[in-house]
Amino acid sequence: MTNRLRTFVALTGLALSELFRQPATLLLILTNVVCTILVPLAVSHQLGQQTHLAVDSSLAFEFVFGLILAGYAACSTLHNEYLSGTILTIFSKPVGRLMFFLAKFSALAVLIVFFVFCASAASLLAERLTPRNFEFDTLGMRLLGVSLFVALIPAAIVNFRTRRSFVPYSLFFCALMLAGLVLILSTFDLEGHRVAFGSMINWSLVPACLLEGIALLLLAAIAISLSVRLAAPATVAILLVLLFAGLVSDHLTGLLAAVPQAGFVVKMILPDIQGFWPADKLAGGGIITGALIGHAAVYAAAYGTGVLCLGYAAFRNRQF
Amino acid sequence: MGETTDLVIEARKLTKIFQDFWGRPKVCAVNEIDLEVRRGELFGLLGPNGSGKSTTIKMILGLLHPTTGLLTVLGQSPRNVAVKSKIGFMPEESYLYKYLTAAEILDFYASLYGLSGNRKKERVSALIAQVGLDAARNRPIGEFSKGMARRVGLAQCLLNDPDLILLDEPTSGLDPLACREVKDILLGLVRRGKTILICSHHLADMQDICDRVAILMNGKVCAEGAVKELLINPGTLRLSLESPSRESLSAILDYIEKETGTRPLVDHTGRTLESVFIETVKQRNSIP
Repeated sequence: MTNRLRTFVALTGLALSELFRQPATLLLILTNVVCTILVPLAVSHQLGQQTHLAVDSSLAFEFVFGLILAGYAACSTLHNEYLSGTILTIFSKPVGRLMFFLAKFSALAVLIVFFVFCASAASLLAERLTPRNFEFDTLGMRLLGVSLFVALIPAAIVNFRTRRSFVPYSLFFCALMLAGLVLILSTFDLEGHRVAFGSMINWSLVPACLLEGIALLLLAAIAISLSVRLAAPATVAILLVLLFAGLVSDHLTGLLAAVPQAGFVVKMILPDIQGFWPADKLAGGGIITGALIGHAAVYAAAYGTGVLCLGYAAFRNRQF
Repeated sequence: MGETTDLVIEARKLTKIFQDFWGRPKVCAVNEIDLEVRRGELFGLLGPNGSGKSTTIKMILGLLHPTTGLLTVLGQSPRNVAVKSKIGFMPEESYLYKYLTAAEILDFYASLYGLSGNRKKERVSALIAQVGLDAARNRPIGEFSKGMARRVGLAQCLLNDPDLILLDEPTSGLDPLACREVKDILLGLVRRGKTILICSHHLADMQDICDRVAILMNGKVCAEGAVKELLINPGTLRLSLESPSRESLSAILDYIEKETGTRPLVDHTGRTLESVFIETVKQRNSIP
């Protein structure tokens, strides 16, 4: 391994360990899982709606919680380095600013991928657990309650025995339990009888979550660039504005039809979040195709690279 | 400590003006200072709070950019990343990741210097032993006292065996014994040919170890020179005698009075409080 690569790995590793030990990370990921699974359960029971409520709400939760996590984590990994002063020690070493900036983004991207993994598992479970014709999946609900509780026990044991941080272990075991639960429920029907693997799970949600995950990575790029100058509240607020403006970007461009140049500028500046919103595409039995994901990934990569370049330009001349 | 003309740090008319959001000048932290630090010397930058010491150190590290003036470090621009592989820096506060243990944090910083494998392990272990933290190597920094955290700060600054060592208030928060140990480490490094620049307002410590000092005030260098020269009071001399008899002392005093016309002051040479403290603690520690 070359020295530069070793430095990059060390910086990314430290940023990752820092992000995964933040109690807010655990709180946001667990809240997303709980809301994704429980809210459609309650709402569909009340309204008598079918599973599309679960799909819509779980995708919406993934977007909103993912966005908050991206904004918070970006500031916690980069902006807090200024506040704590640790950046002085880092930059007194032979560490280039570009490498540092990219290492922070890489760590954030890994966290977002982890979040999308948990959110995807939660979405699959939400769709499976949502009552059909007011019939509850009692087996699934019991297993879910037990597994989330059980997931925290090994983390507590590790914390008690080795005094290592509780948060990263509980995140790891929760993700493991969620994945395990999806696999178990894939092989049983609502009455607990064995069925063909996967027949009880709506797998079309996986590419939908993946599509949203790509959008979250794009938002993470914006978040890390904003955190060069801004603290967490301002970063999250701007991300929320961009999310909602991005969702209605077509409408905004339509409003500016009289001034085509202004419409063009708005379209270029605002991220096309609408292109990543999978709920409309899934409605009526539609599917998220590989081509759509590929197109979204190329757009996110191009937009994200542009945003990261701007962020780095702001970071390059930052004085501490 | 052979004096050479080899300049490790050279500043000419170095100025740093902090600006507000609109780019208007806010504070002139460093005002046209000239500074020369030579290879193998222990140079002290003295001054009260807000005199521009830390700003100067940050400019030397490339963390702040000079507004005007010339600054070279080891013959290169301080913004050159490569030059930092020859520099060690200990900041004023122990800016360390509090959840990492002493060994983990040194391991991390060693990776930033490109150290790996056994070489890294050996270097980390040697430095932990050198700063006296062997027993606490696996405790999180968050549980450390300020003095212990300063020791970790010193260890991380020496990881790359640097040619130039920049220390911002290195003895702040240390007890006198630890302070003496740190000063001994620094003197040892200078004996090995390292160049050290220390920022401090602990004048007794600086007097103990520095070869040359510059006194900063409101961003300007008010005085600069070798410590010995600055401390000399040219109008007076001190004569030390080892327990002379009353008669001999009286004869010497009479002679001096006769020659100079003034009767000299006589008192016992005193020890410093630091030496009394260290001696007492060491004696206590040696009692089983």
